[in-house]
Amino acid sequence: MLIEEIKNFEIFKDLEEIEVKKFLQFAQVKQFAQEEIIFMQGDPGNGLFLILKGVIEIFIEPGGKKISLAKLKAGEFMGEMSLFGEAQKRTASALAFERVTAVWISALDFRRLQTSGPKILSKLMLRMVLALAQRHRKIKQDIRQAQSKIEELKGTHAD
Amino acid sequence: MLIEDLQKFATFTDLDRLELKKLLQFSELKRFRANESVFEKGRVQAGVLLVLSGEVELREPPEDGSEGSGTLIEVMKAGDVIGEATLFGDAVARPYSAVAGEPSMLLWVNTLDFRRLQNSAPMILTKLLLRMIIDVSNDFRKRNGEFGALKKELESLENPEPAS
Repeated sequence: MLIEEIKNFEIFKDLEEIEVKKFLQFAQVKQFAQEEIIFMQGDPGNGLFLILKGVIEIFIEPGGKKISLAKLKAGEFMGEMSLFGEAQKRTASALAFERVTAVWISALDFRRLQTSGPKILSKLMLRMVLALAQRHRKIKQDIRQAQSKIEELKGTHAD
Repeated sequence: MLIEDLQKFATFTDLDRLELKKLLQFSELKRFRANESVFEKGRVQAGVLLVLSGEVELREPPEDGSEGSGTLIEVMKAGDVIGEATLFGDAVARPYSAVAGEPSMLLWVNTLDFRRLQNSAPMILTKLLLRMIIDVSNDFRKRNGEFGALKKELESLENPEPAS
């Protein structure tokens, strides 16, 4: 993938071309075809996975029956907890719900980048915080709306 | 406030004494009493507020301009961030008012100092941002589960199973 194309993604908006190049010395751009398995429950999770394009479905298969837990879209990420400590086993599986482009950086390379290119990392992380804060606000709003709708319906049923 | 006291805040867990001291050269600790105004709707500011302790209520002031507390939009708790979008551009007028719901401590970093910190001590910033990402992600996932359960409850109320 070309540097120019990568720079078009929201998360890389604040990086200079040279900074994107440096980042890519530590991270890998990965592409997955629709329905392709990205990882399976029980695999070691040891890095940050950032979705640039497409949708990833998170699921479990207790007793062989697939249960969808979440769908992650562009700007969302997985594995941030592993950046703090030891590798953790994946608690669920993931597949490309539609064609996916993502960036993967291992916990070790994340630490290396934090030391050798912290400014690059701070720019990326600030974009992540922005996207996350927006989603956080949205879900809180959705919860409030659902709660008030439930109260309203319970009141109607009681009448 | 002593550095040792500040290190007890979850947000600063990953910073050592020197890093915390450096961060405070670029930011300002602000304390608010319960019901004290943090900022008013329309105030033009460029910078970010990080809730360290307590809680801050974001409110839409009454439309008639009266002194009432207005409509509650959101409650921000420790680890939450207010005004992060202004770090990317020009100062903007606050779209709502903010009031301390209980005694609270906040960290204020204006956009200019944020950029200075990014240039002179980016490692500190990455530690702070990573902690914020983890905290908000955890809460987001918890709330996502809560929302899923509410959706199911709502669905069963909207489409009740016919009594047999």
